Amino acid sequence: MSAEELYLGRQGSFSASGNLAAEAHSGKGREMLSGNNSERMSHIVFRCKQGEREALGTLYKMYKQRIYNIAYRMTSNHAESEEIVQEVFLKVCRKIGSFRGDSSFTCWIYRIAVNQSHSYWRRKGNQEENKLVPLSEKENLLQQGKDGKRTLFHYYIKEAMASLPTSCRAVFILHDIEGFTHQEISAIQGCSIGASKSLLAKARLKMRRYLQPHMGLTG
Amino acid sequence: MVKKLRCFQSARWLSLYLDDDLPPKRRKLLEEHLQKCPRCQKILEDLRTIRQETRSLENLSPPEGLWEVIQKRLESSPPGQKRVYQWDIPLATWLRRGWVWKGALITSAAVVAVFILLRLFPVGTPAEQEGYPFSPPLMAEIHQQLTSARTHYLEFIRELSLLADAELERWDAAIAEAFRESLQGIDWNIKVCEEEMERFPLEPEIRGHLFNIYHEKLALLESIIEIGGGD
Repeated sequence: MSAEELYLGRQGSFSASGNLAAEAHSGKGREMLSGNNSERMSHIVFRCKQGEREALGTLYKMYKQRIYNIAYRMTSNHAESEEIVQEVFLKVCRKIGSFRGDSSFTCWIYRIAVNQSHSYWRRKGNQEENKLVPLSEKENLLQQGKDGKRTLFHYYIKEAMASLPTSCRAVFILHDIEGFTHQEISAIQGCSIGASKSLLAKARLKMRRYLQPHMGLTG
Repeated sequence: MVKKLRCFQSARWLSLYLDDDLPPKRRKLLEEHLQKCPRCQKILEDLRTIRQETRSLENLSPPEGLWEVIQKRLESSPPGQKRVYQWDIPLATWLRRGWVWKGALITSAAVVAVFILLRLFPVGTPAEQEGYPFSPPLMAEIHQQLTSARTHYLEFIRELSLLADAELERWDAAIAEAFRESLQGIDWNIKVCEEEMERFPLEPEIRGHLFNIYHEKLALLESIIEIGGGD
């Protein structure tokens, strides 16, 4: 069994029972990793530091989906998300030598992803309005019954997320979509746990204010 | 007495309550409030629905072939190669990136530039630069008055000198010689002072000293004439 097969979960991510990405997703930090997984992860990172392209490929397979998801939720744009994923792995390749292992590798790589998304957002600003639901599609979805309404509500959720301030949005995505704990978010974002909780509360109330007129779609 | 919870405070706690992260005491307070307040109940219900729906958003995957693109980019710029700094970015973008240290740098540079410019091109009137607290027109007037006063002194001195010379001709040679030496000493002092005046035309001390010497010479000439008149 190859290292990739060993580490990849069903959805290309780790689970706490035998793969590594769950250290983030199920709210289980580095200390929750089993000894074996921690060692394997260190080994991959070590190989990557040696310049092995295969090890970087393994990391890519492990993290691509989560990073792509974070990037897409942050930017609401597929092309930019692809660009962010590329930038993240280029950065990982260039900077892996400076990774000392003070924090978990997962936190480190997600921090790069979030920072990269922030910088893309700053560069683009509000130049592009993300009109996610064209009017014709909205009407189509409303005619499709319950599932259509739910899909439409998901579109509105994406719009609401795009309307959040960047700091709130990052915490909201990391906690409510990606399932990180506040402790992990504080490590990724470089803020306190209290700040993370406060930003999440703010983000949720803002989301609710935005989605309030559309809550009927969920019923 | 148990403090009553208000709606705005409840809204702050709802997120923590939803994640089961609220301390027991606050949890109890909030639950009591929720029983009485349908508005906060609705908010909690909405937050729960939004969280549930957000978690059920579809997972996205990057397109196939992205790894190949990354590999190509890695080959074109291998690790260790320094990133080429983009110089042609707009000024606004440059300022926005790392604005704290850039702001500090720009402020320091501006302060140093202002300091250097003030040293090179001092602000203020020439009179102020020389230590005169007067405006240039006033200085010109004072200068004119002083020049005319000097002219008067010199006229008096010239007239009295003629009289004194005539008087000294009649005196005993030794006494006349002693007086002439005194006059020559004063003349030498005047000459030195006038030379200094040319070098520092606006220096008040030199001008005052020159006028004192004129006085001294006038006094000596007057005394010669008086002494002669007395004989």
